[in-house]
Amino acid sequence: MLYRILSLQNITFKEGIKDKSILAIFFIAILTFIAIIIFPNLFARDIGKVCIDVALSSITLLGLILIFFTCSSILSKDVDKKTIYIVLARPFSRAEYIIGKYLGFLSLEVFVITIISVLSTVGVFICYHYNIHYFPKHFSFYEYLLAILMIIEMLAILIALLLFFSSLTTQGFTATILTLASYIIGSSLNDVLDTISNSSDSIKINKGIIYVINLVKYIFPNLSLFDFKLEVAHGVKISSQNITTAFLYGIIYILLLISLSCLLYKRKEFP
Amino acid sequence: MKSKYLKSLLIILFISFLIALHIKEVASIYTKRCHKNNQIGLILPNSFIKITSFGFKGLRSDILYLNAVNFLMSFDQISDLKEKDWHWFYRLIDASTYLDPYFQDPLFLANAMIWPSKCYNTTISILKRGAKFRSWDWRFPFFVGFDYFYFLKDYKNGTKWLLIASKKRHSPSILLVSLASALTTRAGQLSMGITILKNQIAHTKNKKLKKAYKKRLRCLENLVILERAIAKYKKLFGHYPSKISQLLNSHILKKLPHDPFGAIYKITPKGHVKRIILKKIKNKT
Repeated sequence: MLYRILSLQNITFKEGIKDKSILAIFFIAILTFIAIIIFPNLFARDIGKVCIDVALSSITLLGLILIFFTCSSILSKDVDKKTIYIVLARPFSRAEYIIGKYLGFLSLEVFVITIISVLSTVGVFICYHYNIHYFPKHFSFYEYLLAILMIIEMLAILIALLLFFSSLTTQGFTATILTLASYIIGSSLNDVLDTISNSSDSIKINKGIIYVINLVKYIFPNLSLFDFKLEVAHGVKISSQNITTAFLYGIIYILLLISLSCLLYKRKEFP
Repeated sequence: MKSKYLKSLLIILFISFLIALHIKEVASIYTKRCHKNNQIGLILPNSFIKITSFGFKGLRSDILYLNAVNFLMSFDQISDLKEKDWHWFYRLIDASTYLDPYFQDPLFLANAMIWPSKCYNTTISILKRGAKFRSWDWRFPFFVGFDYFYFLKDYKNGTKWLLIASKKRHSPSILLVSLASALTTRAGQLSMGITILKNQIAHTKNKKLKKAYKKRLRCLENLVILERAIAKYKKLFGHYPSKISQLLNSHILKKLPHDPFGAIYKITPKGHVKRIILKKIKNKT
């Protein structure tokens, strides 16, 4: 079973590497590297903060591009070109297919993010070397790497969501749009809740909307839990409790989504 | 094929590099055009900007700050800015600090522009946000305190914020406490200055600091003694004394209080006591 999953993971990874969008991602990564060195110089004091902002934001952005372009196109190709039949005709269970695909996408994500991270870390290091006094006093490369790991975990949730939505629909495009919507909801959920709780008495929010938002809170993943960009950029210590909570939350959410996807895929009928 | 890819890659890289170099200039041209056409534009409410930032709050905050800087640079002189321009500028700064309240650059810029803009309350509320989040930084509560004192003449809040600043780590606490007490003294609130110092002495463990505060306290207490004596003199003779020695001659004071910093006292025509440091007199002579 493990061998079958790993071979599927290997195929998915190789398919992803061959995709043309990977080239575009690497090209943007090079541009980001240049931006990390040039962009912070437009600022007077917080050069370090801007440098880390650009580096971590670009890692997130490129990871999202990878999911919404490469991973979703591979998934839709499987159905459109009917290659999924070849896989399912072999002694593969549908659950193995899902897990194999997930691990394949995940390894592709980790591989690409690692390369981008190395590039951006070199950029940050150069910026740090020339502007050491303009970096936060308590900035640490350890916390910077921790923030990257949290970004990877957030992207891992999105991959699981993509697989989950693709098990619900037969069209790859719909699954991508639903995953994008989940990202938008998940990343702004905390801010929406903050706005509601801080809204003054003069602004009355409909009770129905508050009820819907409270319901959404328990369905969609809270992706802002994985966002430590501001803390790292300003050298604010990240509490280990926050990291542990986010890590466990992510793992549980991924396991739930993968199990649900396996269940749904078993009942799925392909056109 | 490979060389074709490489060529196009190099061309795109070169163009992107040029754009990156001129990004600031392009932005300033854009803001200048908007300014000339009186199209300042609209900034959405802070909470909406935050919600629509989707995990890129830091980067969006940087861009908003750059917009504010470019907007200022689009004017030939700071005095050319009108009320609505300042309003727009502070909206950008407010949005930038709302997204990233730790961000120093917009906070410093807001404080620097308080003089020409005269937007005292807006600046103070922005600085208070910075002071709340940058809890380790003494500079922002200091700015808030200073702005309260200097611009709004609000001595109570000014003292409160200067004392908050003095309690921060690595702050020049002795200077800030002295400044708070000196400003209250200057504002004619000697008793408030004395209360500040007594409170600091009671809560300070550092022996050196305690000694410095006690010295400052003695100085203020002397001023209180002298001002009381001057008031008594006026009650008796109907006018203020012109020299400090008159207080001794009229037997209102038995002896002159000794200033711990070595200053001498002078009486102003309005009956206030002025301290003059002796070193200055020596230099003059």
